[in-house]
Amino acid sequence: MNFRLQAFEAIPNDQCVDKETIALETANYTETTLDLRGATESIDSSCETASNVSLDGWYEFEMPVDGSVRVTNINGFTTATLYDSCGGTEISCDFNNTTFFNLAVGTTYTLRMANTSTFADLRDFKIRAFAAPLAACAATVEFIGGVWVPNAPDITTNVILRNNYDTTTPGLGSFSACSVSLDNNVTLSIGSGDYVEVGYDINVPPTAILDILHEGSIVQRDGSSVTTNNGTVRVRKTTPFLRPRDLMIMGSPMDLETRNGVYNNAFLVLFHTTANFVPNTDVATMFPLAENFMDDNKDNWTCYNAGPIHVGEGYVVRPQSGYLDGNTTYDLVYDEGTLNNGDIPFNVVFNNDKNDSPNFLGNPYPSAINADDFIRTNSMIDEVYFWEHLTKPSNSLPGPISEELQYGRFLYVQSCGRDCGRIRSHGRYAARWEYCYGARFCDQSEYSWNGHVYE
Amino acid sequence: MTSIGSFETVALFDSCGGTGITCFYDDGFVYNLVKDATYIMRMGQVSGFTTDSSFDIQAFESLPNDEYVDRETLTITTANYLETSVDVRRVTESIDTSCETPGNTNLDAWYEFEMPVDGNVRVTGIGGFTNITVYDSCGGTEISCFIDDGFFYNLSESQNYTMGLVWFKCSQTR
Repeated sequence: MNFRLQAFEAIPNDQCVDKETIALETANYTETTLDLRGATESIDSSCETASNVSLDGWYEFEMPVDGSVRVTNINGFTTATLYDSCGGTEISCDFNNTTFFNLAVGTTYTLRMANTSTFADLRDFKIRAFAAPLAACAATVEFIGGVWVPNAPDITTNVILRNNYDTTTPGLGSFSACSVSLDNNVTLSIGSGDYVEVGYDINVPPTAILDILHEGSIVQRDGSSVTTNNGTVRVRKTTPFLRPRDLMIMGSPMDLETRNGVYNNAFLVLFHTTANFVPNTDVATMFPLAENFMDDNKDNWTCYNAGPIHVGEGYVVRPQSGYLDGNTTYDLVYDEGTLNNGDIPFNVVFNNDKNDSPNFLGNPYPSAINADDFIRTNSMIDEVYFWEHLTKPSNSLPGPISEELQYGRFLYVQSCGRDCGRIRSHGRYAARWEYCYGARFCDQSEYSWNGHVYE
Repeated sequence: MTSIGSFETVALFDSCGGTGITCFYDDGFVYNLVKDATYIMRMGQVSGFTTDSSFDIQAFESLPNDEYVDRETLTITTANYLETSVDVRRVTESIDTSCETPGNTNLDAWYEFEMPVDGNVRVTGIGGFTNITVYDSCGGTEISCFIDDGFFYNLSESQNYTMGLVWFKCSQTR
């Protein structure tokens, strides 16, 4: 037998009285080293299992603004707990990346970061404050001649783009602004992985173009603000490599998109009626441990040959030209209407229980959204399911649908529920999900629905 | 000796008609035998369960750190893991620790190390039948004991305390 030993120096902020001060910013994330291998357990937070040894380090920060604090780059075995003081009241506790809301400017908060001892490791977490409500727009900057004048924008400044702006141009990149207005004939391009964060309104005049490329994001912080589209606003999505008969579930980030607009070349689009869904008993018998998205008589999916793409609705889309087309990617352009923003009403249908009430949604925003926040904000939603194709269509799988739309071909990827990290750490998911694709999504530090498609 | 059935007994004597050294059912060890000495072994089966039987027998040389007075010194650091090999088939039981079942035979090997810093020591690569115990000194007070991988917390850098050397015991239920 071989065994290994290593010493770890005690961390200076092992106890709350020795907490480390974090200089919190709104402009950037502050990165803080967290090595709990040199820590001990002080207390248990409400979201921790008491029998686990949770090694903890202590921090404090003063809120620079009224608003929220987001903690990222932590995993499912790490908890972040916020207290009003050392030995005080717990405000909130969560696994994984998390956001603490409704914090007051000038108030000092105590943060406890903890790791189950078995999984203690070196990890740098990031923390940043976000103002809410937004600050008023204070000044105006211009992008002209390839530079910002008089200075780079931030969330308090109006932006006027006098020249084309491409976030992928070296030296430019993502930016924040209080409002954004494009001059005529100007194009704002937001590349993959980049973003433009806008406090309030966006104005796109008649000959201007707002071009959000595949996996680029634009976010309006004020939910009531709008994007005035008198020119061209388009959001692009490139599908993954799709084989013949592969399909996706998709929604639209534009408010007036239509079936025969973005999906004009798609040979099949279906919409879902949750009220008609009855779990298929043959599927339940064959796969008793799997979630069951197969209907008893296939009346839950209906062909959708024309009409609007309802905001928030998730549609089955086969972007291929026919059953034999495929083995390639497909470029989709959403460009009807303007960008969605703010609260999106969606009638979640509940039949009798969770098992017979699947609702299919599409991310309605021109940005990635965070699944944890989505679940926390919408109390009627307990879990989000992602799935991928698992096998080729097969008549040997049970269900009422013929081979060309056999849902048995899908791989149900584990959900990330309210206490995903905690459940996963107990290993229950592996037993629960017959087709679990490992922990692909739950192992990610962010559950972003990047782009506008559920794979 | 292994592959011994639960209705079979092994008895060891120092000579024919001599003194019995040990006797046990099922698989087991005979400890502290002497090099070049000849021993007599008796295999027995309960009459109601007699059957053809085969067994395996192997000798293991005693480890030099079988007793805590002969402990091996390890140099641990904060920079990297120190990997150490131990074959607990070569040792005997010295004492029971707080996380062991006294009725089990817990074979143990002994080490010492000096803490390079104030802090923790993490032990990994330990199986579920193995426990690690830290003492403040040879024959001293047990500080902590755990089964499988884990941490020892709040150990002190040597120059700060009189008991700068920390002991631990590695044992394995047979």
